[in-house]
Amino acid sequence: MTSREMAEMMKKSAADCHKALVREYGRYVYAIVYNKLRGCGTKEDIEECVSDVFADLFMKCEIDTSYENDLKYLIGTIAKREAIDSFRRLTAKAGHIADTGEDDMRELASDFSVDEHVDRSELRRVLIDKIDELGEPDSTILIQKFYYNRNSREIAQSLSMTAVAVRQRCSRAMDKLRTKLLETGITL
Amino acid sequence: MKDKKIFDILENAENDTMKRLIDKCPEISDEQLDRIFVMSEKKFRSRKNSIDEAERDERIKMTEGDVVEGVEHSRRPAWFAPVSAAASMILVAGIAVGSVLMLRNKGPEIVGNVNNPPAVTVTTTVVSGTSVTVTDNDGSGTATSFAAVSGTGDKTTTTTTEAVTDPAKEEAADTEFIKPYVGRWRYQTSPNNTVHIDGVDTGTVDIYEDATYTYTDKNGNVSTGTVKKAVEEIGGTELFGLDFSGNSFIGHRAIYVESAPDELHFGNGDAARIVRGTANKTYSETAAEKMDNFDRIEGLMAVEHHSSELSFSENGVDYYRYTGSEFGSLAEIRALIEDTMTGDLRDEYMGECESRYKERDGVIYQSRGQRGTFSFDTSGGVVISEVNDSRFTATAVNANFVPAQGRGSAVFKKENGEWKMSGYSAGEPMG
Repeated sequence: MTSREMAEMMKKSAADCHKALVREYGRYVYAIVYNKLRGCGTKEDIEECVSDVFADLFMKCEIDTSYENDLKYLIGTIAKREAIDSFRRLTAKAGHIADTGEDDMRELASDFSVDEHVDRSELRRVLIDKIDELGEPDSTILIQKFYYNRNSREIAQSLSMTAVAVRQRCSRAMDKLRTKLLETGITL
Repeated sequence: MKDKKIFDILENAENDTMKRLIDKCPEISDEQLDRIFVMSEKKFRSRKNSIDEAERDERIKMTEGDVVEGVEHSRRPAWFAPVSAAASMILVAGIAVGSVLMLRNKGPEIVGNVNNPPAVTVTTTVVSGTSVTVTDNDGSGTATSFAAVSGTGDKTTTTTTEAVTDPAKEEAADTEFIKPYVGRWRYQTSPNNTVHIDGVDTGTVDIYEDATYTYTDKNGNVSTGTVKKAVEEIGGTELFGLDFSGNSFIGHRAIYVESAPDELHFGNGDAARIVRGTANKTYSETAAEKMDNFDRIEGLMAVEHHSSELSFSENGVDYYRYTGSEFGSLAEIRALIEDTMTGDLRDEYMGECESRYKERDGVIYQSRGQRGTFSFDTSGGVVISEVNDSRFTATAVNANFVPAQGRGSAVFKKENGEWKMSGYSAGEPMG
């Protein structure tokens, strides 16, 4: 959907337009937010953040409808920024106030390591490549099972399979992935 | 578990990896999307209302990208200064004359004041315990003997009393005036002289047919006294009211105002009043009541109150028997929403209610799903602002128990003479 198409819809009914945006981009936004908040937020926190993204988008639509490109890029940017904000809020809740001595301060120069960042980035690329090499539906089963934390019944419903079949394929696919990663020098 | 951990590396993925993860994201259920839509819409309206209000308050209507620049030149006409000076002098003179008139027109003094002639004068002459002569103000007198009065020499005592001692006069005393006022009233005060807006119940007043009253403050302290008819003339208009003896209230005289038949006001500063029964709630009371009702509705929509056993499915949505005890029918929930909210806010909650609850054979069923909630803490009262004939804003004194929501505020609008919530917003995050 482009902004112009959206403006046409807005003329008829703002609420209908908003609903259509949620229907069309809900999954897309959910995936982006999930990627950032997976480790620190609950399901409710993720939904809360997704709703914040759409509220921001609706506000943006009120002000500016001259955006000619596919709205997907705009929504993706809003989602990433909102998810990072949420991540900071959620992790700040854990409390980071500590009484630190002068000696310890020297060791707290920075917790960001460029080497580690590059390593993780490379590992991510290799892992996703190897998962893709497994082909469908195995790659989807593994991602939905271990990354999106869906159970076999839910995965079975979305792939029109039985839960037993999903479990079997998952187990075999995991073995194959383990072998592939071992060949590249990565052990699970 | 170990298998699962390797997938954690996919968090914070770059664009290319992210794209592939999005492709494999499971479908989001319609129910979940609807829930997200309702939450987004609510947040959007709340933000939009805040912006609209800010723009209206500041009388600035700008859109993003507008620029304000330049200097506005203004030149006052030559006649402006002498006219302003004359107007100032008239104003000062008006205040002076008004003050003198007000001082002259104070009305009758309170009971017990020396200007109020005593009902009975008792003159006692003691000569070795003989007699007492009592003379009332009309000149008629009665004599009473005392059995023993000790002491020697002449001694004169003058006593004033409020009571009419003549039984015939006592019977004739007019207590008809009190009949319209007999009953229980609430005494309300306001530190800001705006009792109609932020009046707080300070105690209860019981007025009886014999023209006496009992005042019980909120700590349980009781005081009693008498009530007299009061007539005050202001600008040729007679105002009726009641004079209360004692010092139970901030003034002695409470005046009846035709526009508010269930109220009697002390003084003219709107600092205190007595209100009949439960009539005429203040803005604060109305707002706090509706904000509490809003919390009940939010709780109903955001939290699951149902059995674990599936009762039926409709349009792909599973419904479970509602186990909450607060509501017996869907009509009650709808009535509460109708009574509490107005406009888009009401439509939004009505819509959420219809999608969340079903009623079959007199039993309420709830669909699954929880969401974040917003609520007000009105236990510390609310502050009223931006009051006009058609709208006002109420802000909770206490912050929400969710610190990020701060002190919540609600906008109220009048619908068919009744105040209802039309929007709400979170305050500055606390803590």
